[in-house]
Amino acid sequence: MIGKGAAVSEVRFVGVEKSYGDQPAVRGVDLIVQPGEFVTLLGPSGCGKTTCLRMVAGFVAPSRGRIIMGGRDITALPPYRRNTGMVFQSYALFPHKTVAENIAFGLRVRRLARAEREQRIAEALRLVHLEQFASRYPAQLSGGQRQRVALARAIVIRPDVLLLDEPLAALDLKLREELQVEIKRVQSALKITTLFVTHDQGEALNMSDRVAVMHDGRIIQIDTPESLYERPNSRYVANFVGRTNLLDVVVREKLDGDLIRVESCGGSKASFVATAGPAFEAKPGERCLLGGRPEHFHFGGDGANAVRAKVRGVTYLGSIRYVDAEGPDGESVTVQAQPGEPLPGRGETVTVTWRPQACFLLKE
Amino acid sequence: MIRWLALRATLFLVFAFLLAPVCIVVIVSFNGGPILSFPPTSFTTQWYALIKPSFYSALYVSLIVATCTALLSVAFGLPAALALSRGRFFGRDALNAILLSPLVVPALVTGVALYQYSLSFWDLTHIALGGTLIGLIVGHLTFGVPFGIRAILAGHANFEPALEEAALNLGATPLQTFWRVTVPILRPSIVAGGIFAFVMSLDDVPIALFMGGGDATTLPVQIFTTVEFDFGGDVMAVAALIVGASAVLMLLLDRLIGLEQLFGARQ
Amino acid sequence: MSTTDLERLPRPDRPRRHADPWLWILLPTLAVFGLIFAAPLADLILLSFHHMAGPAQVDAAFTLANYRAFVTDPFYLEMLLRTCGLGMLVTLGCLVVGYPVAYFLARTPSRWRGFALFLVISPLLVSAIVRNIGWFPLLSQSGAVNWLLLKLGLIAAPLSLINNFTGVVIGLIHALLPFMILTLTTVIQRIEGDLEEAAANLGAGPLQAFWRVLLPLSLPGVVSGLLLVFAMAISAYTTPAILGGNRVLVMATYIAQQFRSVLNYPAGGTAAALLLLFAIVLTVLALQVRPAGERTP
Repeated sequence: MIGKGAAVSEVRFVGVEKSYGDQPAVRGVDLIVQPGEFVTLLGPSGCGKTTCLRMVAGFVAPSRGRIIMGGRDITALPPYRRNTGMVFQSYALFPHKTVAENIAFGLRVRRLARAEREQRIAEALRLVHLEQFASRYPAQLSGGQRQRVALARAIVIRPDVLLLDEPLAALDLKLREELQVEIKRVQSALKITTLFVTHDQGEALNMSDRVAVMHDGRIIQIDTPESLYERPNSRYVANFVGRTNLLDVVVREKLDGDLIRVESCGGSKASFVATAGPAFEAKPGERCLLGGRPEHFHFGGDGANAVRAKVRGVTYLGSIRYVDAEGPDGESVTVQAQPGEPLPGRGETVTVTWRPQACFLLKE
Repeated sequence: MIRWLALRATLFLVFAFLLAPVCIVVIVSFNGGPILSFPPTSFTTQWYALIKPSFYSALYVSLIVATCTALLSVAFGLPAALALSRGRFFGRDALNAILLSPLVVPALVTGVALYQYSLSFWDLTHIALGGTLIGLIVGHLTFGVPFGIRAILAGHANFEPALEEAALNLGATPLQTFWRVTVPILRPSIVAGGIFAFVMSLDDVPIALFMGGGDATTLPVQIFTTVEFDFGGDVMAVAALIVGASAVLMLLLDRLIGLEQLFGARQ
Repeated sequence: MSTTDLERLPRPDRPRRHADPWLWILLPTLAVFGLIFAAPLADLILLSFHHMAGPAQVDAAFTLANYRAFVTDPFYLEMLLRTCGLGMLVTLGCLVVGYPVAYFLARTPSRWRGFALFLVISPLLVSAIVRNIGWFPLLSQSGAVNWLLLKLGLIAAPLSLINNFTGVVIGLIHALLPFMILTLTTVIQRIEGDLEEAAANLGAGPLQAFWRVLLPLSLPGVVSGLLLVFAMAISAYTTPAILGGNRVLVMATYIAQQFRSVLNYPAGGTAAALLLLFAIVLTVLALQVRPAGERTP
């Protein structure tokens, strides 16, 4: 088994900054990736996530701060002394080497004995189900197969950390889902510390132990996929991860438990009850946002919160149907229709309801 | 880090090597002492005053020949390039290779072949090609036309046919379309091809050496034949003036077209 | 062109297929090509199959003697060898000097890249003849290089660096270096930088990465560039003539000598025909080894 003997290391960013000239790319990142943990850096292009990954690999030197791997400061080490296994977005397979030779590369430069090399290559090939492709050249492989070779090449050296730079971006949707499962399977089999970079929220939620949402060179929230989805801490995260209804409201009073009564900022002065998350603190009169996911919003019913809204249109995604409606204050309210539920027509006025426990409050 | 430092040092040496013979020409043209001795002993501008009139008339010949070569190269190159990229006839690729083949032939070989040919031509028709401006232009067209074709072919590779279709659709006749759409779009590559032919014509020695002579002596040939016999400060002064003119031309070209682009077409 | 013109054309085998009118547009250029290039070359090649009848005179009888001389006469063999040696020295010199520069140009994110490229290209725009005579104040007995070496105490007496084979090698390396650098830059640029990063990530140091990844991948392009530079080195005339001081006899200087002073046209024609053959063979080879997608002549 490849996992045997693999060093499983913690990776730590300490106050890491990077700027190009006077153009900041990363503005102070502190992050600890636990040994064996799968952490995803999620964000749009240009948010600094790839720069962070490349700083761990050693291709980019931080302007400030340190990178610690397995308790050792590696900030000044050249890439080839770091023992990180990277899967590139372009795969970067050596076109002049066969699959087996590609996988052998890291072992050869480490001067491993032939017998062990062969054995490890065979294991790696088996792990990614490419046994029969060992003597093919990269040009003779499909995109998904190349991806697997890149993964095998990265793990065969038993890296301290596996670095994945948008490894699925070049693949079509079906393959992408397949390989998500595949990467996750290999990662948990080897229990290898993994840092994954993507702009695809679905990928991030599906694969990670924790997700760090990055924006403008900073991590703005790091949490498990569930917490991130159910309790985003900002408008940015709420909008970036999944679809969200956001209403501008003013805090009115604290109720029992952690419930809070709020009032719409618009002319309707509609009153809602929402759950305050553990980190939410607000005094009456303060403005904040009430958020909720479309799947927790319903037509009709008797939820404690209700608005009358005019249907603007329907987004049909196969198994999922979103109804887009306009509330009394012009706010946009999206409802995920229940399976089999008849859809209201365009221009129809409907009552949308949701439970206090199914929505959250956040500061701008 | 050390790797980049070593690379920097190497780069510096290579650039020094590349620029040394050009820079030294300018320095020694002001040398009052023996012209080939370093370091210079005194400053003088006398060499510039001593430039013989034959160099000026040679410059005049060079400029006329280069201008005609550039214009004719484009005039023959444009239709050929269009035909080669748009035509669908048998043997197109072969014709393409044949028309570009003069670029592979050593200029000296072309030079002596043309020289020999002009002798036969004289025997047949009693029309002199050798030793005339026409002969020089003919000689330079052998590489000028292929340069023109190649530059325009390269430019045409990115041509969007829908633009011509749009013009026709909007009521332009084929001729109007050609002059108002096709030519303006291809203009950068046409200009690049012309400039290339111009520069190469100004640079050529082997062909002009065999096709020219007498009143039809180009500036490079005048310098070449002068230094074959004696090497004086006046030649250095001429060379320094050429360096100055080239520098101005280069900066202009870099501003107008971009040198990388110009030479990218050459590769 | 009118339809009546088209109807008068000979019918191709396949029915209802007219000759492409573009062919007519190509015709003037083809005619010029034939008149001013193909015919002279053919004339020259014909010339090489005749004897000299006297200075500037050609005998009418057909002969292969000129070519026979080239493969048997030690004089010609030595000249061929010298030409070949010159080509190899120059090509090797260009490779060694040019590779680091090309690597820098291909990979650097530096803002000086444009300027560096400008410096590489700029000698090409200064007349070759000027660059050639620039070597005299640098390389002559009392020139700048000898002055510097004497000052540094590296040599006791001035070296002969010009008007000989050494001078020609230096001059040709200088003349052809920009071509080599531009070719190599394109070759290295085409190799994704990711591959070098992948090699480093997998533990290969700079030398190993060069040896195992960069070199094998750039090899076809490098060989192609070498062949082209070699072809240009053996066909160059101006530089060997000027920097060799009429003392270095290679193919090119021999040809010019036969036509300019000896007036043995058939002998010069034969050497020219052979040089033409070498140039064509080398170029075809270079295009063959060149990686796909870069096959413009």
